[in-house]
Amino acid sequence: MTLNVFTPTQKKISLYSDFKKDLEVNLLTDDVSVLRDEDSVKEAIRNLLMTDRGERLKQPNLGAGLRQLLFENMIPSTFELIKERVKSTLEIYEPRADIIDITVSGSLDEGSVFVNIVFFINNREQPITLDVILERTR
Amino acid sequence: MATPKPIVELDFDAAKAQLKQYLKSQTQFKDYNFEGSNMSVMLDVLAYNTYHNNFYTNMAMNEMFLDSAMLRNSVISHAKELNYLPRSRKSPKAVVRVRIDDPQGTIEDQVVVIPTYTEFATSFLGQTFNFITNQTYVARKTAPNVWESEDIEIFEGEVLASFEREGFIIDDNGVLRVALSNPEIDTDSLVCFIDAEATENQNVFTFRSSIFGVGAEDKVFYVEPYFDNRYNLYFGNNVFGLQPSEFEDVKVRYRITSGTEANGANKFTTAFVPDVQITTTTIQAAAGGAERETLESIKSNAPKALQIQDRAITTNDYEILLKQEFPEINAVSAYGGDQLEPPQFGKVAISVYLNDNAQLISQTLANSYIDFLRNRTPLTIEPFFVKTEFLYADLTLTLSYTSKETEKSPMQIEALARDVVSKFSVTNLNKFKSKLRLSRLSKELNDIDTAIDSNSIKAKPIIEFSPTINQIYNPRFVFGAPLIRPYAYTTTEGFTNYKPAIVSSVYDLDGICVFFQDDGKGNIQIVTDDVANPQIVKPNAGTVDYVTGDVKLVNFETESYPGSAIKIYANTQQDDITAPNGRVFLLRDEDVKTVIYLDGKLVASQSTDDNVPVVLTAPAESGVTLRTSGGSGSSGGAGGSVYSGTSGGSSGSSGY
Repeated sequence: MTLNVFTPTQKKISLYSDFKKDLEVNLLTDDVSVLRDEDSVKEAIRNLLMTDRGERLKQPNLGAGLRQLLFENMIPSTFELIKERVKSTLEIYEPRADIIDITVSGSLDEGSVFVNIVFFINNREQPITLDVILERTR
Repeated sequence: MATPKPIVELDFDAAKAQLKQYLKSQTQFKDYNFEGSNMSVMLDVLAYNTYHNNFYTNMAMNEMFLDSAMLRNSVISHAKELNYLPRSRKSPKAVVRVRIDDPQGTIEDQVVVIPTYTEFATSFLGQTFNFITNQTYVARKTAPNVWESEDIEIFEGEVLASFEREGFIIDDNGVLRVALSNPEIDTDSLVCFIDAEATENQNVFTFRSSIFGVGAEDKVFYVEPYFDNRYNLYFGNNVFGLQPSEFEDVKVRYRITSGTEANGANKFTTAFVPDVQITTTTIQAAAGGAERETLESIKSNAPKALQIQDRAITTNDYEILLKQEFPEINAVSAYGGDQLEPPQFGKVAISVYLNDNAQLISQTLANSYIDFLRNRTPLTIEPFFVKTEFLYADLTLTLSYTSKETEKSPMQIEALARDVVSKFSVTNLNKFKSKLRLSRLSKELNDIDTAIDSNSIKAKPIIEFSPTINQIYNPRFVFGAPLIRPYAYTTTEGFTNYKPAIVSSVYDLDGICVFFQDDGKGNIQIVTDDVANPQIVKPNAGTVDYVTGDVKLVNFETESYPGSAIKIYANTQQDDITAPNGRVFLLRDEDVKTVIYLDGKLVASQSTDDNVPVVLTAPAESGVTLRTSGGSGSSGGAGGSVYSGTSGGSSGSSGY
């Protein structure tokens, strides 16, 4: 029986890959840094949640539109609304993330809303947790 | 990596899809398909940039050609390259006469001068308009204390004068241009005075449309279109016309107008002499006012104007030149005098159709048209205007509809059908050489309502003849289409089943009500309008050519006839009817008969005109031919008696 032995020289095949938002350069390769798999999906989710509807060119429905909700009263119904928007946005625009749970909480002192998303992606057994902090910026 | 495909789609989504398609061939960045990715944001930017460039390139390219340009300024710029001056607004023109009564004797002269720009006022459709003269007229003393003028032409509008050196531009070639600021200008009214203050409006420059025959010392100016419906005026740079020197003042005077709004005004008042009574008689109501030329018209006329070079040589040239210059003309037909009967060589016969049923245009209008054409025709050719002839069509519309899909009554369906015919005439006919295509009319009738199951149309051309009573004529009527030649008429078979190719409406001759028809042998015979026992009064009253549809009557005379004309109907071989040369095709409501079937039953059968004999084909199932006849001119009645050509045929046309 032959055992497959993984050695560090074997390259892991990544399903997803994207460049960073700031087009950061990898010092080793002197090329654009790449976000892979889990990181790539996390970045995409963060982008979607931070995008307002109508913000992207020619795609008026893209984005979660959470910014306007940050000025609502910090009560359970607002959190529920944020949760619904996060869920529907990810279902439509991020098919790679299989959502397990979304938790929304807030900090009155800091004026922030914390969104915790637990999801699966393909080719990975463990669930991934992503925390997004939404803040009103003036 | 695959070579990127060229962008062939012009919109954003397609451009983005093409970029994604290209990225499928690489493995480094795989998230291009997910909208939240950074890659997708960049694709958005690239696709938008592509879309943006496409839009501007497409638009710029479109505007570069006359055919595809959409912006008025672009179209006008192209027209300018073709030396075409798009028509400005035109003032309506009216012709009036003025009578001045001065019972107090304040006027001592034999003539009263009516100066240029004398104002006349009118109130029309709730608005007040100002009309002005464009030259000086005089009223002469015709009786003690009474002065009367000849015909005075007045134009709607208001006179503006520019006297601003700021509007002047001297371009790189040293040509002096004057920008006229008001877009409501009527360019026909432009007058230019040079050094006006010093010479008191005496040093006049005149408008020329071309440099033909213009010398360096000639006092002329030219007009060119400018942006935003405005015009420029420029001089000849001392080569093709004298150019005013740098410090001379240039005064431009022109009329601004409301365009079509005052067309039809016919009551004018004026008070250019105080303390007298001035009466204005309208000779010709205001007409000819027009809006500035439309984009479509410029696109169509500019290349044609270049073709004809402002010269009237072919018949098409006459049509284009007249329509271009006189916007009130709806259609023009020009043909050589050799085609007239009798031939008139060296002449061009012109008929114009002015959006009404008038056969004759006024002498004033004809003179203005001829004046315009005279400088554009060859020396040996004399244009003259002939009466506009019309061709009508006798239409029998049979409509069948079902009550399951509509609640409309037969009368409503009939009204809608008549409306369709009226609109069809305006849209597709109402001009010379037009053709009535029954299939198109049939389609429009079907579209009246979804409940219409079917329709059929029978059409016969009609030419009207309005002879003076008790005067002998040898008229000729050309239908210009082959006729269905009937079997030769025989006295033994009589008129029972006879179907003539040509038949007229009734008129009176020697105290008898008659009509004429062909005999199947190429002759026209006059027959008494007697239901029971029609008799041939005159067997050889003329001839008919069944191939050309040419009908000639010999020594035709009548004592009276009903209505305004005798109608001549033809039975043509082709269903579609083409207007012969020199005739405007019109569909009139009075010539339309309708037969309405509701759920297969005849429910209405109507005509608006019962004064003419009309051969009607009854519903197919009855298989009879009906002929209805109204009162004759002698009896004066319009009883609309009904009789059938065959026995028992009255059911199909009971509505008459």
